[in-house]
Amino acid sequence: MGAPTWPPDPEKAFALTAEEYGISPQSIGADEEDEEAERALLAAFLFRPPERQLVSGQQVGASLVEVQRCLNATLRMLSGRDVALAASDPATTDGRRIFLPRAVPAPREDEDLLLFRAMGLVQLGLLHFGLLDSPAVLGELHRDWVLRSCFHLLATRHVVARWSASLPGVAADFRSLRSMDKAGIMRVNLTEVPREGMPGPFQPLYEGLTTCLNWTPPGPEGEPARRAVAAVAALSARQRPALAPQLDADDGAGARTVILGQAQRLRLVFRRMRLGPPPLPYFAGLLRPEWLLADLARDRNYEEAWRRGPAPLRQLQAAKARQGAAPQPAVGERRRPRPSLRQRIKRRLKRGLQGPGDPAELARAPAYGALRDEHQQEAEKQDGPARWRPDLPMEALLAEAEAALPEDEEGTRHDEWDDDAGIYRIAATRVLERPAHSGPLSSYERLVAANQHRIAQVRRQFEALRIEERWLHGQQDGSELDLDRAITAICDLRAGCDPDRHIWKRFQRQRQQVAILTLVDLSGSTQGHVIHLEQEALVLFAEGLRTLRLPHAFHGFHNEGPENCWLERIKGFQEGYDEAVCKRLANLRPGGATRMGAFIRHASLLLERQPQGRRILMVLSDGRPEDRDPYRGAYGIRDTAMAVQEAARCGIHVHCVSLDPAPDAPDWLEKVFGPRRFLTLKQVDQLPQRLPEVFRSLIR
Amino acid sequence: MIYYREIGHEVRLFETAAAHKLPVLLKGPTGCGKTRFVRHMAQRLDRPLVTVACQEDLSAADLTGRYMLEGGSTVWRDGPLARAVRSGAICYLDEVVEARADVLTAIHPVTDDRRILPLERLGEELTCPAEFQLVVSYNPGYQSVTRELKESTRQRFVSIAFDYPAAEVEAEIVAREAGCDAELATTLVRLGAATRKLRSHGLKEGASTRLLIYAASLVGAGLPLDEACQATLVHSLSDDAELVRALQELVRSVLG
Repeated sequence: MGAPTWPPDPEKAFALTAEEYGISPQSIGADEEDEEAERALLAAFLFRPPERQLVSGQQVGASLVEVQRCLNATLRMLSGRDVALAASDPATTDGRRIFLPRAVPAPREDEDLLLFRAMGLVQLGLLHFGLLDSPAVLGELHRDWVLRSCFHLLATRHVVARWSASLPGVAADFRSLRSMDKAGIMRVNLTEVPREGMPGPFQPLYEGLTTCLNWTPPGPEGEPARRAVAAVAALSARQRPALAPQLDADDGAGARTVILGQAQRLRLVFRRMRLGPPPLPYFAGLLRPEWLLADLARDRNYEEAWRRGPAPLRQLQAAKARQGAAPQPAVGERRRPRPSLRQRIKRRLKRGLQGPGDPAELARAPAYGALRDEHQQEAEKQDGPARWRPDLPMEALLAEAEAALPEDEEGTRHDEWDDDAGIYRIAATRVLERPAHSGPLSSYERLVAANQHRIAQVRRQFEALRIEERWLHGQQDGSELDLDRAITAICDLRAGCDPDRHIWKRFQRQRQQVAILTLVDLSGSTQGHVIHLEQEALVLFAEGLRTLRLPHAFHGFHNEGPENCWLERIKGFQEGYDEAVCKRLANLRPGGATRMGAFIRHASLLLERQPQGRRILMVLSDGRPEDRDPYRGAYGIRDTAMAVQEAARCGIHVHCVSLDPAPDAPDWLEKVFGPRRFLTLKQVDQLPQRLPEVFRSLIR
Repeated sequence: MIYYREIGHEVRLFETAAAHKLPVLLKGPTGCGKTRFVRHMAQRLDRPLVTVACQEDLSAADLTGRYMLEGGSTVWRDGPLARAVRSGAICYLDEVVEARADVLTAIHPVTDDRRILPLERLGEELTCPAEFQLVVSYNPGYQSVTRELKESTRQRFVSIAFDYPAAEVEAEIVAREAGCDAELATTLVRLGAATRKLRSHGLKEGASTRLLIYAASLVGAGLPLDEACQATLVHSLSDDAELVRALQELVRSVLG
């Protein structure tokens, strides 16, 4: 392609762009006047895409993985925001996460952390100083790339000034970016553009941003940029806190308006000059208003759903309608005798698999439904849609269907807390117990083989906890005289008192008296990497608990609506580590939602049956409580919080290990489990190692 | 008078509890001023203060008293609790959750309306004078299920919850205690507040007011600020290499 030039040849740029990215002139939607500018703009895609170079081979600088944990903690301490870091180039944010490149450009330098931090601070600042909080502004920016880039340049200046005013070390870092070539790479999207030959208004703005905060661009060409930069500098100075004790966020409404106004003026200049968007320096990243808008829209939907609430009148009407149609048995009343679900499924499989039939009566059995769909698809694939004949032997179908059935068809009903109405919804959920999905034993063996080293480590650590070793003073019998007590006894004797005969001490090796139940989230969101990590964590944890010889159980949970809350037994309290348990442990199958409150209530019931004095319920989850309406957002959180309180009243200590990547995860976790009763793991890969550690810290 | 900067209305609450002979429970994070508060209140109310640092080997007899051999004869020696009852002092059990269950049971009679302390070995029952007051403290930040205060104990006390003071107040405290200037105190408080944002995110506790005072004192003694911060706000908070690095970055960012 040859060396990139600026400005690029529009025709060539457009042709290559269209070819590479499948963009047609019609899809751009630019009017005639702007066509040339749009073509120049699209030409940005032409030149070498940096990400491919950055992540391939050895020619990269420091990677995000190396600095992620340190950076995460630093950004949190500086802002108080829980920032989740993720990889993407260019650096950007979706309001909840901050995306940074997987690696900075080569060569690898000591200052690479500094560059990562600068990029993180720019994105964090855009959020923290409230520059992206307005959907109206984001909408404007989304519509116009030139405006967006101008806004971004000016907003970055503002953010740099704000951080620098509060933090002298950060100011020095931003100044030192001047001498770092890679920080100043200019790009339009992912495309690097040369600084030579850059049109007038870009150069001063760019220089002003990256080289010196108080720089005044020379010449008449730089005048619009100079005015914009001066306006933003004045704004930053006005908002600069005089050694503020806290780096509080502000609503940013004033700054947003000023910066948008200046960006609009610059945009007019650029349009008049028929220029595309100004390139952005590498460290400034990119604005993605569409991501933020989607996020805001989602938040609004949640709020709206919560504001509407459970609508008692509507519920009452629905209940009346149901009563009119078919009277519901009162809670606790036995239903009329009917064939068991197991019998009905067997019958249906034998009969229904030969033809379509009516599956409505068995719709309550999701396992059956899944089985039926699977075989229908299989049959359609082979014989066409008209025929539906399973290829598997009937016995295999029956065995699988039976394994997926609940052990107690009626299940156990639990109340659900409706915080809005301030009442319990009586028997609103039904928890059904069944064995967890089983698979080949080789999966378990592979997991164990892959974690041999870790298993040995966990065993050693738990061995140290196994026995509570201590001298028991004041015993009636013992191995040694308890001198303090003996002297006291002699004193008592001489004083004419009846002495205490507990004058011995002995070394006690007592087993810990704790029962523990671990609830593992098997909802659909754990599909993929998370479920594998959960399995790995369970295998390690199980090894530790076996070493401790503590009574323990593992249960998975997921649900399909309030009526089908499946508590899947991976290992029960009474079970040993036989083949069946090992097969279940390493072959978990996710699916469904997270109606967490019901499962915590049920797990509390199971734990209450254990005779041990201390009972711990560990909840391992990757997200917040969520199910169909109304069990979303605040409703689910409040019900789960109530379930945790109920467990606490029964003397059960509930602790959560969460993989929820949302920045506000600690907030809801604290509401539900209480302060310091949860751990959020931002790096999910740490789960296998951290789960046993959390338990150790609980009983130590 | 021992310096104590009131944060809320804790002084009034404590005085009211003392006037009505009610025991007090102080809870709050480490180094936020619980012990200082008790010392201050003892002076303010003009009562002696008996402090006991609770730990798991502390027995009920250690608290109430026992016979001792002295020159061939036996002499009864009061424990700190009995001493406090006799002298109408404030008895302060620091970190009470560390104490064994029998110790907690032993304090029950002095915390309810009976206000008596039975000394079984001595065959005596001490009645608490009006001046006697029991104060216990603990840090609710413990995660361990074995380190929780039982409801039957907790509900015998009037509770005062402590937290770290607001930034301006904390700066005032640091400046006053370490004798440093306001600017240094403000900078250290900013650092402290920033570390507290990592609570439950890697750190069990952020930097306490006490640590900030240590840092200011070290600077006052001639150590460079950066070195003082490394010794107090970085390495005292964590052993985790990544968190230590993050704390170092924070110190560098704020100090420049």
